[in-house]
Amino acid sequence: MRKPALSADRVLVSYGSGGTAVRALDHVTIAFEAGRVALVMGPSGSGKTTLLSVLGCLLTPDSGDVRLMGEQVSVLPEEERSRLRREYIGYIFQAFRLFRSLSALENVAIALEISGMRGRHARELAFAALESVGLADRSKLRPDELSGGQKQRVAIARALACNPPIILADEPTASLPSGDEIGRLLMELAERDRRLVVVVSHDPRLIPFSHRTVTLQEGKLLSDTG
Amino acid sequence: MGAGSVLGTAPAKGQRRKASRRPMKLAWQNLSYDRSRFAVTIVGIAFAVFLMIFQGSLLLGFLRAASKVVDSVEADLWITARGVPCFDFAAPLPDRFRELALGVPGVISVERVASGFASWQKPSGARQIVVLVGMEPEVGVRSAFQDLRHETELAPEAVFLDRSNRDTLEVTAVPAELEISRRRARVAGMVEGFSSFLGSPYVFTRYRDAVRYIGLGQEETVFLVARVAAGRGLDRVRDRLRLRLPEANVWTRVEFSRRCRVYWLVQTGAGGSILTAALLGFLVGLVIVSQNIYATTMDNIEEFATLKAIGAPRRYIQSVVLTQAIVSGLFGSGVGLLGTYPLVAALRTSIPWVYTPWWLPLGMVLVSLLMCGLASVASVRKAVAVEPARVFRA
Repeated sequence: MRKPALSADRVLVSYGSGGTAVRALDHVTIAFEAGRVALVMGPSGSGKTTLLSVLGCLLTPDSGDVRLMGEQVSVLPEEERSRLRREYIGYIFQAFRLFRSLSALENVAIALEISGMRGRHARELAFAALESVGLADRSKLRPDELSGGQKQRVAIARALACNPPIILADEPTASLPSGDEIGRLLMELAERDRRLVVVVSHDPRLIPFSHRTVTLQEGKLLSDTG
Repeated sequence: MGAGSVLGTAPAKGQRRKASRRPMKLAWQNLSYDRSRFAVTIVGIAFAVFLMIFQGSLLLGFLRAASKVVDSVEADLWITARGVPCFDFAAPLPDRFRELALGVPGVISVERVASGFASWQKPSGARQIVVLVGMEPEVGVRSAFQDLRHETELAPEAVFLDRSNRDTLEVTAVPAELEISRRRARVAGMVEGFSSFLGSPYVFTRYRDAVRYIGLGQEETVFLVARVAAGRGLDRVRDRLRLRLPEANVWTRVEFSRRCRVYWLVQTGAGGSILTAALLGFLVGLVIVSQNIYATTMDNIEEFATLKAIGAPRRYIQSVVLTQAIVSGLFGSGVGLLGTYPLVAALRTSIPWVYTPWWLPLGMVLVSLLMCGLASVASVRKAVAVEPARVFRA
């Protein structure tokens, strides 16, 4: 059996305290392997985004264990988890999370610069990333000058620019009229480059573009197919 | 859309260890992007800098005016009647103390200075109380008094006043004949830098004339100013004089100058008000600077969360926030300084004793920058403590 790229073992996350505490993740155990697209689905409030936050080293669970490339994440200090995020994970956010004062090119380049790339080299790579998502001619525009779909493509270029082995995507098709284009790209990223792609979405159009579909309900794993 | 061209050229893991040292650009672009927000920050800091410099100028001007005459006399020691709190509220001193003081080893000269209130009759017939100051010719004086001394030596009944009091005393031309305490006097000229905050202008004249105008008795004087031989030890000579003149107070010039300033600042309502206003101005300025920097950081808190989520180290975020704070501080201070000089100059026409030494604006700018830095520390804590998981909230 192959070693999982990312795994959660009996992860518990709760919000609030006392009688009003809500378990967003209730002792969830799940593992993800490289080279596959895993689609996490479920109704609102089922714990999808919380699971993505925990897997992305952005949220420390109340209990349980999270492992990234075999390294136990939950016990690491914030600076170490920050390094892991920088080195291993590319994020695609539903709300894009682009820097409003930077151009598309600079938005991609900043991720490279944070990873230690020099300015000119970073800009060249950033431009190549934008080219790969078909936005080379929009590289000088700021986010407020781009459409929702274009912003999402800039966000994807930023997530890919550092060549991370893991891609975590939160509702990547929410702003797009069609899910096919994104679905195909995610499949390509997983199969050709042996990356792990975890997608959280309500969008059933992405099911054909995933190797595995995980369903959550009320913080628990309801089904896991594929 | 395909990912191949990117993935082949991405940096190797080893290259990624070192974090970028260039957060300044992001800081600058954050500020310049939202120009109206930046303008509000600059105006806030500029106002704070102006407020601090202005209130500081009032306070320093007040302090300087409180001891101006004392500081202008080149005496080593001042001998006053017991309990005299400052130059302006003096009491008569026996004239014979001069001979006693001259007998103290180390004292090389003792001269007399007269000071007191007198009634100035304006051309319109109205009367104005003035503080009349007269010095013996041998009293060593500094800069502004130099011309005055020569003039007063030559011209009996000649008086001089500060240019800023010209209108108050209704002096339309020089020379001008008038009366002080019902005695003849003649305005012979103007001096600069001796505007009074008392409401009673200073008027300078010869010692002998001052005695007549004030109405001092023949056996009386107001101040004795002594010079001490070099190498005799100022404090030692002062202590000997105190022993010789137990019914008087003996101060070094520095001590008497400080005594005057402390009296006006602490013991009078005017000084207390100015001191309080200066402290409040300083505090309000600091609060304005801090709030602006904090608000600027909080405006970008979502972006700091994103930076954190994509792996920016703590130092990177700190640098962005600190750079934003310092750039805002520099721009705000610059605008504040540009506005301060013309406004203070305009104010000087109505409050002539306002004083802005060269180091005050510099000091206030440094304080503002320091406050920007400290305020950024508070906002940095907020920025680096931001929950990175919030980036997943739509």
